Amino acid sequence: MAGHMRVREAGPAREHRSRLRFGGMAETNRMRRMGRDLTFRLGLLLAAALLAASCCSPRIESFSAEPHYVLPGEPTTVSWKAVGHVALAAKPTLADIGKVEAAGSRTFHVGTDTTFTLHVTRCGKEVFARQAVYVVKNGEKRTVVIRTEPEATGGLLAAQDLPEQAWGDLQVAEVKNLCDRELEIRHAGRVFRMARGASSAALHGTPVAGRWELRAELLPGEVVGDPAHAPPDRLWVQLTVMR
Amino acid sequence: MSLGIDDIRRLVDTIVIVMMENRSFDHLLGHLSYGEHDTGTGVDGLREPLEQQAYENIYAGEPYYPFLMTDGRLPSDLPHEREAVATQLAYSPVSGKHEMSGFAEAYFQFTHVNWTKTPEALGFLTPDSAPISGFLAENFAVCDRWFAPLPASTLPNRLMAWTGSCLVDHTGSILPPRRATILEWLTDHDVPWRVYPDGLSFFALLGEIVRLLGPNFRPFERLAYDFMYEKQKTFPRVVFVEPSYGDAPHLGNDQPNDNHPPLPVAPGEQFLRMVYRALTANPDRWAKTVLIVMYDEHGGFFDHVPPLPIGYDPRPDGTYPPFETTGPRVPAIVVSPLVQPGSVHHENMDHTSVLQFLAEMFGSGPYCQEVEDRRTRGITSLSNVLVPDQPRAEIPIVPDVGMSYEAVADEASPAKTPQQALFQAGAEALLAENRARVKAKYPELWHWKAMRDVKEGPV
Repeated sequence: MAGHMRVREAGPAREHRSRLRFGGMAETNRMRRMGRDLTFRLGLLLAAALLAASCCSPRIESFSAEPHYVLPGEPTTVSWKAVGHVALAAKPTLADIGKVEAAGSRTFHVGTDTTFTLHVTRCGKEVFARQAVYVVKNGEKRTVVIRTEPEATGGLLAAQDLPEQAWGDLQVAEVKNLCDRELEIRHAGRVFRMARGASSAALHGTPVAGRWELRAELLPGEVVGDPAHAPPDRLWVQLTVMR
Repeated sequence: MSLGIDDIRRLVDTIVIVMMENRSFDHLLGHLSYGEHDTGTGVDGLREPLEQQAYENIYAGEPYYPFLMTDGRLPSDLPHEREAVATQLAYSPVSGKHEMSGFAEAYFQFTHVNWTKTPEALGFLTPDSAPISGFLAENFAVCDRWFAPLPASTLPNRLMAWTGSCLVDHTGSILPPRRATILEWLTDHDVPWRVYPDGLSFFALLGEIVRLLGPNFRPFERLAYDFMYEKQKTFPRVVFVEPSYGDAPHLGNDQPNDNHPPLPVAPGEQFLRMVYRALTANPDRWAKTVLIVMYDEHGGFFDHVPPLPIGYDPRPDGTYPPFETTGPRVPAIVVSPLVQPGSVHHENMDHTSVLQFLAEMFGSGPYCQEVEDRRTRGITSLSNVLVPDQPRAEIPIVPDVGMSYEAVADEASPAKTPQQALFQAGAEALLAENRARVKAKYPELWHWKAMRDVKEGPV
């Protein structure tokens, strides 16, 4: 039908139409180029936005509270480094807390067990991390438990470094042997033996943090590595802590 | 006394398999023997007091114990690759046993930025947080000695579940060597099967690309309709229902519901509720149905029961040292009119128990040599869980509980973890097979790819 109509067109009408068509084509091409250009620019913008979004994730590079254990009112330092908008929260709530810079540290004096949460948001996403601080009272008892390994002499050794970042400058008032056997204890340059269930002030005034070595002999019938006659895989002592 | 296999063949028309992600038995079902939640069924879960040596975890000289947690988004995923699991199982050369005391240690070494006396790895849930799991446990059969086959992560354990063997010991970012899957086994044995994935199927990662584009893969939304109305002569004998995996490609407001941390379990609970409702909407079909809900691996969460001394040697094809034990226990519930309400099954099982069951139902011998080896070493068949010689008539009504949650999918492009990369490799393989058919069948995947290409350039 359209072809038939074109055949019937002639003379000025056809010329006008042709002019229109060619003029229109140029216009159309120009519009198309503009459109393509616009699409390209929009595409670039979109791609850039998407690329930014894809790389745009919040990140917590470090977050710590030191020490983990404090006496009531003693300071603990909360430190963080993150990428994104950062807010620090505490439970129970503490004053002067909330939106903070991307990296920093603050010292708090807490009177009760407190959990700090670092919230980091970026590009609509959120990550968070938690650090707790526990308040111990003077004279409070804490259990230390250390895995055993066989000693060449045939006994058991349990050795562990208690980190200063956890225990700060808390000190030992008294040690109690919670094991079912005699222990030899080495800590802070002191060595002593403790009967089963006994308490001792031999470590009075030494820091809780540092290396602890507990040694024990096998009891009759115990065989290292034999599940049916197994010696203990861990040894315990109870510390009474003080400042 | 369990049923004989001939009785089971007569009584069971349909086997439905749901595998969720990354929760341990104690984490999800340990409450069944704890405090006010104690069902009195003798399930080997957590018991009071929680501060006892059997549950004691050790890190830097301090003890950590399980604690009651409420559901919610976790600060991070938990460690569960092979090395981390070894730390968690805590084999002691002194006692000669796995002491299960390293979950806190593995968690702290993994996160670096989280520390509390209640690390998420030791948290356990109650029905207040996981009401559908609680409902299923209360009304059907809990298997309390169901172990992840390998002390490793998702891919090795899913390979054991869906192929009976495993050539990798980590969930890397590349697709594993192709092995015959359970879908191939079912096809070879003329057993009608179907998969209802809520999103990208895990079978895409196991090389089942052609089948994914075929008629046996249907969207999860079709499950209820098909169960309700499809004629028996075309209805599959074995059905896999898959959650929406958190690590799979997602777009928009899609809600992953596979329970993989850091996701909360609420979306997964809703998913299980939908599955149960879909299956029970047709009582006649339900009467001859066995639904198995299990978890692929423990995901880094504490469990107090040591693994079984049943190893796995990948040689001669494998490229990793043999495993010497199973992984930790995982939640597993058999939901069917053919189990006693609130019952507990104590036999040793793992994911290959399902393969044993399928071989009994539809095969003429063992599923494969690896599965048979595990059977001879004490892994029992799921058929042992089925007890009554007549199906229970009553259909427990699943609670219509409101669960609020926020589990917005991470587009995960570019991938941040090996598992995300693995899922994306599966998606890419599917798209490479036939982009037009993927566009028609999995449009959200096609759109994800288009977005990814804009962002990162075509792969």
